[in-house]
Amino acid sequence: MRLRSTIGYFCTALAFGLAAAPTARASVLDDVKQRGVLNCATGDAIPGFSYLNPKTSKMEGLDVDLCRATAAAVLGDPDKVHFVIVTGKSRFNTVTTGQADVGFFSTTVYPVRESAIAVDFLPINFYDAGGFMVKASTGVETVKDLAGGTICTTQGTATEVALANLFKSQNITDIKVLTFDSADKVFAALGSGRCNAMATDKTALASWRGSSPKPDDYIILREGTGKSPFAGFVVANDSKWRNLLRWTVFGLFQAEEWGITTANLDEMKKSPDPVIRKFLGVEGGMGEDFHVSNSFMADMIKAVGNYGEMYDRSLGPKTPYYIDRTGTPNASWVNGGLLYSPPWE
Amino acid sequence: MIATLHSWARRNLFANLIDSILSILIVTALGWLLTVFLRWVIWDAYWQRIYESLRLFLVGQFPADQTWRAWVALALLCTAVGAVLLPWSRRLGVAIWLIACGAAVFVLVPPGLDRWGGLLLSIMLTVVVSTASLPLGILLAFGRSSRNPSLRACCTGYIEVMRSVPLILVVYWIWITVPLFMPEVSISSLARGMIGYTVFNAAYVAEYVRSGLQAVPRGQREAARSLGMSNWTISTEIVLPQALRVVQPALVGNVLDVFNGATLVFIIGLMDFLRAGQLILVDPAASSQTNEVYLFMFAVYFVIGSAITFGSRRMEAHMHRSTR
Repeated sequence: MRLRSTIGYFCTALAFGLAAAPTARASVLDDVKQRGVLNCATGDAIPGFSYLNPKTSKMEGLDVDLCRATAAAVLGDPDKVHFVIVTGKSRFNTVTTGQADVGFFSTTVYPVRESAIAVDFLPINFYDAGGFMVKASTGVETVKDLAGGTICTTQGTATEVALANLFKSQNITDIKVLTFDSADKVFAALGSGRCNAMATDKTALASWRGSSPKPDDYIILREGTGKSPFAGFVVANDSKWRNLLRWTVFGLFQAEEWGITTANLDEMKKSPDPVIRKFLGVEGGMGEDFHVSNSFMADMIKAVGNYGEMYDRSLGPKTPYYIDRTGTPNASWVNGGLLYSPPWE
Repeated sequence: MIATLHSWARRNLFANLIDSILSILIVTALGWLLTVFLRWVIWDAYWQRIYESLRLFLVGQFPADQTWRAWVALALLCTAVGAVLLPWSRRLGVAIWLIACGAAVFVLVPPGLDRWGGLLLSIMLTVVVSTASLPLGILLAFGRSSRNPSLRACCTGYIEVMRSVPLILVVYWIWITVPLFMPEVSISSLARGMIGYTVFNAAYVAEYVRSGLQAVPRGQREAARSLGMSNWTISTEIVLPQALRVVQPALVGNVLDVFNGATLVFIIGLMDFLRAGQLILVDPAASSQTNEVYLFMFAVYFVIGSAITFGSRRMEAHMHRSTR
């Protein structure tokens, strides 16, 4: 009896041990190509970035388009993507355990995320920051103009800390800070004149402004607090996969710089510039070295356009979440922004 | 009729002075609240928001050209519920339940488990979890009352561990560990959520069933043994049917718990009914319709919850009738 149960326990332990033994994995790229579908981790509740639109039941936003762009570049078809919906808590686990091949989820690049969590970041694709929104009629242009007034924000957020730091560093003492428990109350207080400015992330400000009955009544100040650069992320230590995706994002920036759009793609293929011809895979190409089709950039641009087109679709002037790019870090470097691709020759 | 109403009111509402004052105050207050509420519901509320998001609420991202599958599944589920509620042979009822629920899952699977959402997900999760945790719970209950010490220790340990940790933790834990153990097989988040929830709920079912096992008089077992029945026959033919009859209402009540707890699967990125509502509200354009969205969700939860409670009461009534 005793011997039998000892053997039983031993077998159970062995089974667990075998199951837990790590298995060697090839590059994620090989998995994706074999599967024929890209598993892309993204969210469903961030309008403008990754949002399941209740009216259409379709995924939309900048992050969603980045997923589609990746699928187009790797597999040649933007629809060969499966969205793995993640939360702020599960996003990194999803990628490190291989349930998703890449994550685009308005994720801020922090050192600890690359040092302690086993992910590698892709190039930064959006620069967010804390910001201020005021009523246009007040004529306020900088934070200093708010002297003697009240700035409102939500309780317990990073913005509250950032405001305190800003006031300390700029030695501002005559601005009061008032906090509310939710953003809609802050916005209502701004509308009623109880607050002179509303402070939170610039992207959130833009969507509050955009959804108000008269967006032109409000302006978002150029000044900001803190830095919140968003980037995609992949599992760490897989250079083959990471490099391909890095250059995919760079390709979106480069296409905008050259003015290659979905509409003029076929024309641009006839360009005499040998670098553009190579970029689009007309003559030779760089895809082969990344183990994908030479036309990977052309496929991607055909499907989702360049970075500027993607931006306009999700955050452009025709959307409720309009955030002006000009003069911000989110402009291409040729227009004074920070979106810059290394050369492709 | 009027006279009856009159005498009823006299007896119950206006028996003496204090009763009369209280009745008038309460009836006035309730009437006022109801008017305010109804005026808002009929005139002020913006129900358009619910109407245009109805699809997301009901089926989430289920492909539009496959909606018929959801209707077929609904019909199958109604059949299943009807089969166990009607007072005919219990075995037949359970068989129809299993076949109909299995068919409902089968019909819904082709578009992909990850396309399930909204009320569809909440209901199917409830059906699958409460059906699957019953056999597991029965096994655990027998294990816990078994005479084999290692089996008993394992089952007791399992039940106690599951009952002392929160559901959200078990679901999240299964969701993370399953792909670590089986990296080659891709199992969708929903399937892992169902496994996690079943594993958790089985411990509760086991405790209900165990209480039923203990309620079966000792003499039943002894009498069966003296007739020369094997242990297996005694357990499956004598003890279990009597035990299940006792705990049936509690088990149906557990279905309600499963349905209400199903909202917690949002942690692994699934979109259940409640989360669909929250998703609608994150759009600043919809932020002024918070009341409409939550009232709608309240109504749906209330109707389904009441239906389950009603089913449980009906079963209880049958049981009393059959043991009388």
